Amino acid sequence: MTDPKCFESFMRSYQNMVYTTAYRLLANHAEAQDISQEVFLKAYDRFEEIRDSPRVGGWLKTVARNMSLNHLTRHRNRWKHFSDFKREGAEDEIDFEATLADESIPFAGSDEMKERRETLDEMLEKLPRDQRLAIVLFHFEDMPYQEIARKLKVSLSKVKTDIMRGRLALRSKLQSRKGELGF
Amino acid sequence: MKHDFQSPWEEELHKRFKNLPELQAPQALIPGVMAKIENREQKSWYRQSLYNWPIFAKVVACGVLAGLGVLAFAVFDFGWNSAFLVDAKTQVESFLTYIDNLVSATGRAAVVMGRSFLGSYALFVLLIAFFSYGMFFAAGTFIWKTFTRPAEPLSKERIF
Repeated sequence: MTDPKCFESFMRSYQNMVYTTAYRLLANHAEAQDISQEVFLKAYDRFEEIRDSPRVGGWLKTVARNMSLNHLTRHRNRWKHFSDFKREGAEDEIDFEATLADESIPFAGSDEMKERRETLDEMLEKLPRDQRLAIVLFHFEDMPYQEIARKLKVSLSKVKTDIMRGRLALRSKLQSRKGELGF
Repeated sequence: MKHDFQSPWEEELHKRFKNLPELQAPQALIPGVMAKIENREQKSWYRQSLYNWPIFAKVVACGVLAGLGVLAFAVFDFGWNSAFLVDAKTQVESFLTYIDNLVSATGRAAVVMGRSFLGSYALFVLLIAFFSYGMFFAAGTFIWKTFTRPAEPLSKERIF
């Protein structure tokens, strides 16, 4: 039988990492919290196996990532209408000003890093979903292009295009805030 | 994994992303997880999702579902082929004979396949092991559920 105090302590060690992984992919607090809960429920079922494993952090991150992607796939398949279909390579219009500002996200870190984080993460959240997913999987999860294409069930060219466009969008926005971030 | 970047900007962006600190998880996350665990543990095993059932129960459930599927197929197939039978008694007898032939044929096929893959001796041992495991598991579950004290909720203090 798993000691609940021990498991709580385990969760405290990894909750930020799991939540961050889910949030960067989903860009939604409620969904990220739900996914994080599911990840830890899964971890509870296997707690005796994983508690002392040196790779438990990697396992949690992988589970959080896969659950988030599965959630996005299910959501996309359920609510997709013909009008939502876009051909590959179609231009995505990014209008950051028109995007409603998300609620302020609690942050764990120094004030300077908090400001930096609010700008970069804020911009990342406001990217179109396909671009955000590709960028997060490439830069945060260190996945190669082919694996990203396989995970997202899209073509390799679309992944490369999304990453390129996402970077360009971030660059144009960041350059306008060059002084703030020290670029 | 080390990426090959095409420009200094890409590499710089990658470093900035890597240096971004983690977000703070919501305060409600841990209590939410513990509450779900407590709810789950208070339920009897048969009230939980199939994923959390004991292995023996899962196998039996799958067997029952497979049997229902075969029965549905048999009813359809028999009904399709025996429309000319008017007498109800003859229909029932014919149906039972059909089921008997189907089960026998399935059992013979399973034995033949088992012998082909495992050999007669290994198949016999496997069958004995399977039924023994099932019998002891069922008996153990019954004894544990009937005679042992149920688990206390996680929210209360427990002595380990």
